[in-house]
Amino acid sequence: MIIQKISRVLSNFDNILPVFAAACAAMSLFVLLTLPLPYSEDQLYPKEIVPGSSLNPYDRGGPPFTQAAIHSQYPENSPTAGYVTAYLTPLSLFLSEHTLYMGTTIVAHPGGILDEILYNTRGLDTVVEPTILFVAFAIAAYLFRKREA
Amino acid sequence: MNPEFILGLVLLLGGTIASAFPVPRTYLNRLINLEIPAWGLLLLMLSYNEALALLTFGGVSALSVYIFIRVIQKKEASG
Amino acid sequence: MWNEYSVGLAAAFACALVAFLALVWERDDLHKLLLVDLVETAALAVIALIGTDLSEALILPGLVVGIAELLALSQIYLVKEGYRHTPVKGLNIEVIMRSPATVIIATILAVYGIILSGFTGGAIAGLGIVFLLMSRSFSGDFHILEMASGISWALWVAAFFVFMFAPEWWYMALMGAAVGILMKVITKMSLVGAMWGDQG
Repeated sequence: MIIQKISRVLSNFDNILPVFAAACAAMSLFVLLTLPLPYSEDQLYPKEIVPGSSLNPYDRGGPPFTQAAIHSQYPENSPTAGYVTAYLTPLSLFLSEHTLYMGTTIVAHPGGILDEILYNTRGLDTVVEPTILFVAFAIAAYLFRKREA
Repeated sequence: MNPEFILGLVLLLGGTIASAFPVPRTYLNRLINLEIPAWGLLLLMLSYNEALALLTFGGVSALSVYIFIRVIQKKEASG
Repeated sequence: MWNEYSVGLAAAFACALVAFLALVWERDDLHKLLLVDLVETAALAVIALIGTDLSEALILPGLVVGIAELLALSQIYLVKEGYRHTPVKGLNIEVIMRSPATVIIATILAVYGIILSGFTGGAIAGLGIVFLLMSRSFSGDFHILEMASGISWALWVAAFFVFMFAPEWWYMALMGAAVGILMKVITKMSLVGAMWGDQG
């Protein structure tokens, strides 16, 4: 009886979002009750700020084409971790030698710690996320162009 | 705890309440109130030195305003 | 025990709780869409509180994916409610419509975005293109945009496999991935701008 009732509620399309939101609200409440929570002792990719470096706040060490030390989750799976972090393109090398205020631009340019994490050590995590992006884009483009048909 | 962090949390909390229960419950009002928690998040990122995430969030939130305004315009125009 | 992280988590999850509770009782679809954006802000705050480089690496794709989902959901909403053919007014401001200022701003943003590359560069360059397309009404062919998006996505995944199976070629993989995701995000963002046109 009760299962029938639950399935009737869930089968209504309009009820799915409220049920989902209620579940997430319950989860948030649960997390609030389990606080306080300390940081894990073993932090991955710890960050250090080197004031005065031209790569600040993304100076993670290592001259170009050498291997910087990266504290990744499975170091044995990525033997070349560290090369991407240390790499500077000619443009970012030029910027780093001439100004102290372009650290964010330099890290966003190819090479740097974030490219290392996104592409090299996290790998398929990042692939799955942009797959969602690609599907969403395909849906939007299809619906948008359908008027021509 | 530095000042950006505290101010960020205050803006995040206040903005969330303002945006979840806007007083005249219109789309535009809720959209404008959404900017307050976004500012709170920006200050939070600033206090942790997450400069690139801050830059991307700024760009992306500008884009999301375009999308929302387009939908709201269409909805209001057809009543 | 109440360190900075715990205080931040308490505030962020309180925000999430409020936003989800508002979502439970919301009946209007467009209001739901706006509330989903609010929930996203709270979720990003939870990730940002970790404070290491990993949190930033998780935020960047999350932001770009969030905007893509918003785009798709808003278009689905318009189709479902039958508002697709309602005209949208452009920005009727003389400075934006006629002066070359918009072209200059769009060019600066696009060039800076290409220098940045990756997720951030795509978002910044896309913002420039959106601004340009919004100010000039534009009707064009989107097959090319979609094709470019698909090809760049394939390039990007290929670069990932180079990272996984031939890690000594990391340099080629890095460049491929940077260019691939840049192209992909730019094309998606320019669709946002093109949708602003009268027919969309």
